[in-house]
Amino acid sequence: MDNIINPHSLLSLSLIYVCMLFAIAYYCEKRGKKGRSVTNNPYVYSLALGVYCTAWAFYGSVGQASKTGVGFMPIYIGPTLMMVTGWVIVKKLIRISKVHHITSLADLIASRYGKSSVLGGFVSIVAVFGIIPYISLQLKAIPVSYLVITGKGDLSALKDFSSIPIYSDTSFYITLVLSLFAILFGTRQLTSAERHEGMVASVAFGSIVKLAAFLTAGMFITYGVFNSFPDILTQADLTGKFKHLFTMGTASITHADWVMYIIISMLAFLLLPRQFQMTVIENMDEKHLNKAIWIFPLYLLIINFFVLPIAIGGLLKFNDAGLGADTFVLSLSMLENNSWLTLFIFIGGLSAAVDMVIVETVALSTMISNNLIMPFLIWMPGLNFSKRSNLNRFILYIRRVSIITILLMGYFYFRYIGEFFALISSGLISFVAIAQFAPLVFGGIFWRGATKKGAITALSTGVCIWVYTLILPSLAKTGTLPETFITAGPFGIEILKPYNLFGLTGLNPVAHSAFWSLFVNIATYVTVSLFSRPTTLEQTQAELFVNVFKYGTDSKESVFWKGTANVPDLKSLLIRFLGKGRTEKALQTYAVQHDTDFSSNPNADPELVSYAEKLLSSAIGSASARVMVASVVKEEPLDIEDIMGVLDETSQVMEYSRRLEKANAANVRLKELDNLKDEFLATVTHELRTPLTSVRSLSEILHETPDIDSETKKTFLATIMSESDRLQRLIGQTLDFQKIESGTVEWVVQEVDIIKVINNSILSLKPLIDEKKIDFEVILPETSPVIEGDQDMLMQVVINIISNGIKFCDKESPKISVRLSKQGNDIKVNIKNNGPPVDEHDRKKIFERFIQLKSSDNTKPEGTGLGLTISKRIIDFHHGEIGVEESCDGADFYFTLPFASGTIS
Amino acid sequence: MTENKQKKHPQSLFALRTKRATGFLIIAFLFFNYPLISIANQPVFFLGIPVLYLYLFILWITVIVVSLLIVNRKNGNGYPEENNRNL
Repeated sequence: MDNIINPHSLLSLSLIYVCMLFAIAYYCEKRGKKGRSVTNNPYVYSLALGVYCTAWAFYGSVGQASKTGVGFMPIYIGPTLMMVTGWVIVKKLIRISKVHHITSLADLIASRYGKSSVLGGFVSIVAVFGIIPYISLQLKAIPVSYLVITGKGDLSALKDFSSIPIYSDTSFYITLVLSLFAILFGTRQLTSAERHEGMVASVAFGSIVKLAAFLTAGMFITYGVFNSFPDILTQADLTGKFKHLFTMGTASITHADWVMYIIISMLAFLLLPRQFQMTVIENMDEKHLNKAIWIFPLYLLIINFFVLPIAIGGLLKFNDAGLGADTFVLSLSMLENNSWLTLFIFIGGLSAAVDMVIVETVALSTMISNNLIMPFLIWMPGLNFSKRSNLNRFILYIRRVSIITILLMGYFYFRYIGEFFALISSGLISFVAIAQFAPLVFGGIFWRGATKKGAITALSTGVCIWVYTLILPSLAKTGTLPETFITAGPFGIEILKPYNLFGLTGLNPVAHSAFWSLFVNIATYVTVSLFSRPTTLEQTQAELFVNVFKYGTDSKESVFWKGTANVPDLKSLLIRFLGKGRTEKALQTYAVQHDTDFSSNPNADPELVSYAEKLLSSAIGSASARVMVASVVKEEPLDIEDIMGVLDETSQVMEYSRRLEKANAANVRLKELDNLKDEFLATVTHELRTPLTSVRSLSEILHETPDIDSETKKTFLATIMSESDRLQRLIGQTLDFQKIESGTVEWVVQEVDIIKVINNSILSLKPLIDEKKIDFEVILPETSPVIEGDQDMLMQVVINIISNGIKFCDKESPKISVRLSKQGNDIKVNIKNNGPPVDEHDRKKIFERFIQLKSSDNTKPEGTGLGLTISKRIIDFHHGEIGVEESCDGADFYFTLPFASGTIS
Repeated sequence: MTENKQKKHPQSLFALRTKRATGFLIIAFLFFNYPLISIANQPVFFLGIPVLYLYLFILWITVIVVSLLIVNRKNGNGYPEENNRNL
């Protein structure tokens, strides 16, 4: 291998890459502050979930595949199943975290079980110690890949890390550099709601880099070093040595192992601190899930595609399934003698490790500061912690120190314990630890009956079994405990052998531990919950969590505070933890939203108190926030009935507002009608005034000029009479309409001859028709079936439609035709005028109240606009139909009436 | 009628989707595990690839495609929808 790369240039390249990640983060954070967020995007969100693929995926999958064949796959099938089918859980978690200002997994669990500091602290400790093997494997991956690439490829040296003095161990310095970057990424300042846009962006970028690097490696190895995908496998098949890798169910991975692996990786995918951070806390919009549901599984599928050929290829070339298998990706691509290729792949692995370490430590440091250190300091008697000022800087320091501590612990783990394990086993140890949270979380958000006691016992028993079946045996391997602890059981008690607890066989150590710990965990969780009584606060939180969708986005948590507080007290409390700027801004927002003024009213109402608690919990966690707020609030105890009452009210209010929305729509319609009515009133009064004015002025002239000639007098009086007639008609019509609408009209139902009705109507309109010289055509059959109805009313309908036609028909050569025909069980009357046709759009409308179509010259037509409406009501009463036919050469109105059959009551 | 549909309780809609997701999870989980997986668990090659791997990858792709189809379903019958209020 002569393409050995200079160690110094490799180190500087790594540094440059990490600096570039930081530059991306910095830029994106700036943009986010200006409101042009890069990360508020479903694709970035989906890619950021790729933080799941760590150095373990990049290097360890190949190592695992070279030993167990398909054994590497469950770790990625689990998350796929979780994502494509378990989004219900993910969505609920996101919603709960938003509503309750949750900052971490520990915070979520603490908050659910009555804002318990004890539980929050416990979860944090388990998370930190559970994750340390996992972090340590990332720290290990970097120097290992570095050694492979720089040609100090004597991997047996790796077995002896502990013999190198710390100050000359490169990985120690790598650890320090990584902690520096984690601090820069995650804890430069206290962010609201623990969102780190920059970190998300750089992780999304890293996801692309590692995918590209791994695919490139896969392509070069499969098609460069070997000929093709089937070529590698056929070669392997020919040797006959690797048969066990092509099937499962053998000793290397049994079916039971397989199931347990899928289950723990499903759980880990959501509950690992970094996954929870990315999936839930950093989520900016629930809708992003819709895309992530398929993009993320696809990402996993693609990144796993070349694992098998690389593993088999490595076995064929190097004949080594030991520690070296973890670095097959690198050592195989080095056979290509292309140093750029090798560097790219190295950067991919580095990226995988760095992303994981940064997000994991940032998430863990939030847990430690909010759920472990803060509650402890607040609780410590004599410290008077809550009275100190400038605590927000202090919180930052706690987090920074936590990050360094976690990474150093990871470093020492790999230095003294982890060296005995391949990459994948260390990761799985962590998976089993994290899976212990699953009953608490999933039970907590779906089962109201789960209690704090149940949660604490379940977690304790689960963790104890994890320690006993995985951690203690690993200590035995390092020699701290005697080897017989594993082989013969503690004190020679066979039944307690840590890898075969109670004689259970058929599972490998990890699956064995996962089975026992989860089994006992769930059993105690359910049993103790059923046999213990939750406190009021627990019951409330349970209700708020389980039914989070019922209570909307802003549950009225004010129910928890029946007491009062001073605004200045609350304010100074907030300033201590959030800083002056953020506090003032937040309070101002509140004041504007609730239209209050703090200077005039120094008493904080329960709503303000709960607002303050939420603000505070986004900075120091729910349990601490509650204790702190309680210290300045005079609280009166509430009982569960009160709280459930208020919660009920809240959900009723939600229901009410939903109905209100519907009512609003109805209201809009009503307003429309109201407008129409106004218009109608205007029309009617106008119509009434015109004849009145002429009557009035003509009679005035007659009254004041007695010597008027008889001819003029006669004309005047004739006009007065016809105008009075018009007035009477108008008023009559309005009254008719009013009567029909209010249902007070008295119908006189009898047998009616419709031909007679039509003829009578035409007769009464005869003068008008003659006056306007209308070409009037009537086509009637000799006889017509008898119908039942109100003769006068039906006449009114015919008169209305004909006079309507007279109004609208063509001015030059007016023409109206009336036709009577039989149609099925109905008789049908068509009255057509040759005026402008009625638009399809208007055909229904004209029968509505008060609607008058504007005529073509845009003047208002005469009349009230009620004629057609009244006609429709009358025809409706007769169970008939009224409408306008489709026609292009005029307006063809029709109505139908059923034959007499006694249908009208 | 439409009125009635809208009034359907928001909780029941979420419950319905939970049930669907659970159903899909169970089916997919069964396909990925013993005994169904043992059908493909043979030391046989198809197109130069061990059938077990072929089975797993094809199943994997199917799961993704099915979820994609369900996500892209319009209106309230699919997976998470745009309008969260209706959950």
